[in-house]
Amino acid sequence: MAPLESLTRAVARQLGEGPGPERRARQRLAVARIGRAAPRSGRWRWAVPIAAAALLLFAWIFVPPAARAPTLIARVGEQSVMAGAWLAARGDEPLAVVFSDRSRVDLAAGAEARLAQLDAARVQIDLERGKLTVAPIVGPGRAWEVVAGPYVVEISGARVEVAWDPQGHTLAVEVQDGSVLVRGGEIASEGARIGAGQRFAVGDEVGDEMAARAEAPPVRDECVGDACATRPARARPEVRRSESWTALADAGEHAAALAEAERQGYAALLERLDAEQLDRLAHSARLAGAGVRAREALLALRRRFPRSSRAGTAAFVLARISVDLERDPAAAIAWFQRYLAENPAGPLAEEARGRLLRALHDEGEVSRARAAADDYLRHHPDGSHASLARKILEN
Amino acid sequence: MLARRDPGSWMRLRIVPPPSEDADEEVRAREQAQVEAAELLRLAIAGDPRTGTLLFDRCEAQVNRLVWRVLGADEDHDDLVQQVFVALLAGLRRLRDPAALHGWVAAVTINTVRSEIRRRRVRRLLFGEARAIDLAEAPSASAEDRELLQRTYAALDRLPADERIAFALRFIDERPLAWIADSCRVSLATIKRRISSAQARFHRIAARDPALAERLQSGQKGSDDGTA
Repeated sequence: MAPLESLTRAVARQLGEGPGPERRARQRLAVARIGRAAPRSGRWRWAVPIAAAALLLFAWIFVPPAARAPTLIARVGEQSVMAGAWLAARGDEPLAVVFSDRSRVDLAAGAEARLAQLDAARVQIDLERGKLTVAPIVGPGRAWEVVAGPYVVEISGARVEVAWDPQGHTLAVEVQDGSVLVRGGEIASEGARIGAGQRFAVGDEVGDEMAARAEAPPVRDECVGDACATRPARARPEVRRSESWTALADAGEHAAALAEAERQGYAALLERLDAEQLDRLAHSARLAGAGVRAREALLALRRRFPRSSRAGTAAFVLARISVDLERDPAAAIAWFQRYLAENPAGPLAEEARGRLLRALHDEGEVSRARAAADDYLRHHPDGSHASLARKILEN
Repeated sequence: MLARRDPGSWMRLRIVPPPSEDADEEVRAREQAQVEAAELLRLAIAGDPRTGTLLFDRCEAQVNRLVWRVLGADEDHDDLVQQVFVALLAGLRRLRDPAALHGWVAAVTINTVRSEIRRRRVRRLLFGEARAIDLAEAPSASAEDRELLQRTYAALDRLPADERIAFALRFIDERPLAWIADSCRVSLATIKRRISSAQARFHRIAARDPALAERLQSGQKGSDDGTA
């Protein structure tokens, strides 16, 4: 098959034929309303749609984009991230998420969060642990929220720092500019509004590293000053707790599956699940963009079931995670080599040799790349990476 | 079957099979579809409020698939499908031949998608807006698959609207050339030119994308001339 056809068939296969049944049902309802509303006769039947079209055209041309809530794009470095992506700032390095409207979220070293929602109307970040700073560009039509444990921090200011300790079940908020409204947990239903220069902490443990409680606005039926919220508390998106993580994973709701697994206690699950379930959990975590969680599940699989065939495949997937999610080429090289050492003729051997070759080449490891190219051509002279291998050997 | 003609000589008779049940079934299905289309037109002309639902039930699979494949699981997919049905409902009563319903639906869908592509190109040039593929619905959403889809459609975003449509219908949706020409309301020669031009442009764009280039570079084995 020609390469272009191979590519486009793969694209078609991955894309499928359209949205799922629930969306089609909603489309049907929308079309049914159109059908019922359509004027049946009369020479003025085009007046409304023409007028509406004229208004829309006027808005599209003359209303500046900033006055609407345009599509928002988020990036980490050069990589765009989508809703559901897992954000993890490794050990000693912060992580910056920059948005196309110049909003910014900075995760402190060691912090982990998920970009739960990213659309024109709302940005929601689920903070799993650690500290982050949110500096949204305030504009019409878009809400910013940080969800930490049972708490929701609604941001309508220019800069706020939020810290969440899942072990101590403690939230700390420091507002540098603008204001926020904190809801949920034991906070009164109206919420607690925190203004510029104020700090707030709530939870089981409020230590030195958290905000001083003396500066916090009171909780339990009290509001801060005259800025108490009057809106009704908004329901947080709920994971359907009655569904197991496996059911959610089977339904393709991988972010929710991972969240449910974490609520059940991720570390404990890793010691309890069998090899097949660990594989599924890792797969869901990977699809949810949570490289750290996927890696943990795969390492547990290899440790607990070293003789399982899945343990071998796990080495290959760990290499892919290192490349795709963790941007760690050295780790990827090591895992590809481990896979090949364990499975020199395995089902993924050709792909592992090819990707190893490419990783070494990209890292400028000239002599190792040449050795890998030679090895590749020896095993797979007509493989999909053969032309790269030959190019490396010719140079 | 052999029939005896004269002693020592046998004539072989040719057995003519009866018409296949499959062929009968196909004819019946076509006739039924025409009857249903005619009924739909009658309801549309009469202004029956059920027209929208009936039209959707008949045509949504076709419309969803065309929009999905050309724009690639776009985040505004549902809005565009609704736009298509607004246009279909507006024009349905003027359709003369019920047998032409599906061809007409395809043409209206493609027109709607073309307008959207052109509008986005203008907005991208003026405001630098880019759209993302919504892969929540993609059946296979591994990191590698996601990357491939995004990169392919990012490359397709760079094609002119007519070329992009021709390319997507030919290579991703695997439609016959005659069908594409008819749905785009152009000649076969024009569609062939658009596909060739789109291919060349796609290859040039893909050559600058390492992931796509790798997929396409393992020799131009054989012909991938989509006009064959």
